[in-house]
Amino acid sequence: MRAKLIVIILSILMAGFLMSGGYGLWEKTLVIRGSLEIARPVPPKQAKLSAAEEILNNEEPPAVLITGSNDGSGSESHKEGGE
Amino acid sequence: MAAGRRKYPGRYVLIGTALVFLNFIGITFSLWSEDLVIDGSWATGKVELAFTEQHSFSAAAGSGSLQASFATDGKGGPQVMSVYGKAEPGYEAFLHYSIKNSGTLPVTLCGKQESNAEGAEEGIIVYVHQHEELLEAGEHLHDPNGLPMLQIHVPHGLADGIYSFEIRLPYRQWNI
Repeated sequence: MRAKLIVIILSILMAGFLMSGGYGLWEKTLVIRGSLEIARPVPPKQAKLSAAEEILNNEEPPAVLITGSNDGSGSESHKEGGE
Repeated sequence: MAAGRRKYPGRYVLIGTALVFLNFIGITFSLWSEDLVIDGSWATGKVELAFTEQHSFSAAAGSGSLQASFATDGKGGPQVMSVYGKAEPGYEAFLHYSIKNSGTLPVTLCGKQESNAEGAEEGIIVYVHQHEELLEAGEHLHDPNGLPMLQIHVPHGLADGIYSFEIRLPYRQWNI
């Protein structure tokens, strides 16, 4: 009977030690995640050119064609007469 | 008539036995439902650190913009901090973050000083500046101009692209 009691007490003590030890070794973590987009700065001249190209590529042709008109004041107009 | 009674002598025995058993089952059930309930609980301490949303960025060099967001698993405070944004090569910034002990036990936050670039892809340099600290339950660790601090450095020759990193900050029970 005495031996049984000793075994039970030792088992309880061992369980206490093992549990506290395991709990103590348990480690948790905080996490820092990062995601950075790295882009070189675009030089100003190249930026202007690329902007212009983009406009040229994307812009639709105008719906109405604008044509010039001759008002007669130019040097090309001549009157041919028999004077 | 006497012969008839002798013919079925077990009828009264059966009825009597059934009544006794019914009583027995009823009494046993009532005793069982009341007495065989063991209601106990054993509460242990809670080891839990979390980020708080209190943070500040300070740029040391170059051009860029960074932001931080926080994610929680629903049990306590946020355990994940995400840093994101755009930067040009040569950019360097410091993120002063804050940590709170949201558990019920003192916790040791493991120290990492100027050596941690684990998880960082080649090119981006990330340092964690942090001392080993003992945080009591409910204690808050934050210094807007000091530690703990995350240093992010983008080298000048770095190619364009998206770079990511992940850093784990371990902590444990105070008495280990």
